[in-house]
Amino acid sequence: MGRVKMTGVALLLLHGIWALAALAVHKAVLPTPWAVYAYFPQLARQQLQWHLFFSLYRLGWSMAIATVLGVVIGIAAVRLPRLGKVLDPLIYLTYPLPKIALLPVVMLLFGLGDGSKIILITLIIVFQVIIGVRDAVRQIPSSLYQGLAVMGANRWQTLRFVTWPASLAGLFSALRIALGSAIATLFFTEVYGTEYGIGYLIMDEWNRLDYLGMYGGIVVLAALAFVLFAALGGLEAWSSRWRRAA
Amino acid sequence: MLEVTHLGVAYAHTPVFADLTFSVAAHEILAVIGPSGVGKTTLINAICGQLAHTGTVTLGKQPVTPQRQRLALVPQDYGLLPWLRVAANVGLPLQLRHHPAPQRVAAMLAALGLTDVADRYPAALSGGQRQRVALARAFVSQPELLLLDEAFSALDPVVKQTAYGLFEAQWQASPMPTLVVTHDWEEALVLSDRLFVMTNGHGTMMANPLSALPRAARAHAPQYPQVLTDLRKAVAAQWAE
Repeated sequence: MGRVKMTGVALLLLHGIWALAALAVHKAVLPTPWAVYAYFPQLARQQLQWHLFFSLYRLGWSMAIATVLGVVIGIAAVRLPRLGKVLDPLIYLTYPLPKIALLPVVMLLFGLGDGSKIILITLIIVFQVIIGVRDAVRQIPSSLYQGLAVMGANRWQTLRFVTWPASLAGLFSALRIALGSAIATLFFTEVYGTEYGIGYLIMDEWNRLDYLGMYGGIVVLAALAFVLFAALGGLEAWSSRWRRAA
Repeated sequence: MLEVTHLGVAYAHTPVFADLTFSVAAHEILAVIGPSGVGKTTLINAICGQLAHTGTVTLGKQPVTPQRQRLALVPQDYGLLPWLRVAANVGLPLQLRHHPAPQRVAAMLAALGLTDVADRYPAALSGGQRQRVALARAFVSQPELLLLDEAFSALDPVVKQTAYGLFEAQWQASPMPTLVVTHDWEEALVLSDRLFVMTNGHGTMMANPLSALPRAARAHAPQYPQVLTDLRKAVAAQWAE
């Protein structure tokens, strides 16, 4: 309950700052929060739900693909040491690369549609997932593996009872951290080759000097980010509930 | 019966031990005692088939393999899976062999006083409780060979006495060849029938002078302090080398 209350207070505070700034500036480029919220019914008539759907569609696929690739590669990098020897320097070299710079390449290869958007977002978050899972698996004490081997566990059982539960905690915490970059990239990819998506909506309203609509889009994007962040936080807490000593 | 013959293990061509031979009878507890770094844990790992070695290790004339025989190991850190609740940890050996037996797990939890914490995660337990979970997990599968690697070392003296009693009760209910690896003479004297003293890659079999007494009575026996002193003195010179 404390956390919910604190979140409410923080939200109020943010809106307070926004309102004060709007009143101080007193220009169309910075409307007040109540003006923006009052504009929402009209925003809804501009197919807000479809903008939201396409943004979630791109984000959802990217995170799903990054999860599958990240878990498989992250586990393999530790549990298959020979593969790990090849993978580790590859990850090390490519992780700091600003993948957003690959945008033109991805566009040339995969076009302007959803495919290229999903691939670009995936490229950006998959490394964080690989590293999160890999590090979580690496931290498993070897005594756990040995214990299972002595009990006669096969490879599949070892994966199920030891590697998988440990990697889940690493996965969700990595996804939560990666979410920020994922949404930033989503916004970036929605300014080209589409007429749907919250990113498109914000830029389109901006071009049409419809500042109320633009701020409405920003609020929706922020709310989307917050909900996903909270959901991933919940999943992370659930997947590592065994860490709490109560 | 566990038979270890000419057992040798080397790390990077440096032998830890080269030629260990001993046996543990079906209803016997052998204490393997030695200073830290002498290769006690290595010996356990080699016996349960987790390390490449020379020589042979057989259990009932068959080579020891975890897939074919029921082995139980209690490592020093207890090796509990932190993401499984107590009951699931205890039932794990049965589940791995596709013979889940919730009633047997429940009975084992009750016998070791763990019923109230059956739904907790290991992180929420005291050290003594964790150790009892590890013992319960070891005994629940009615193993053909039991290996304890410093399994009582981390307990405080009072908890340790209780743990010895619980171990003894479970072991007596269905004895199996058992190896108790320890650096603690008191533990070796209280639990074992014989002592295998390891020094610099060699091992010497010794009788436990208290083996005729019931285990629970050994620590209180009048001759106990003297036996302890004599043993320590006898081996101290070798270990100091």
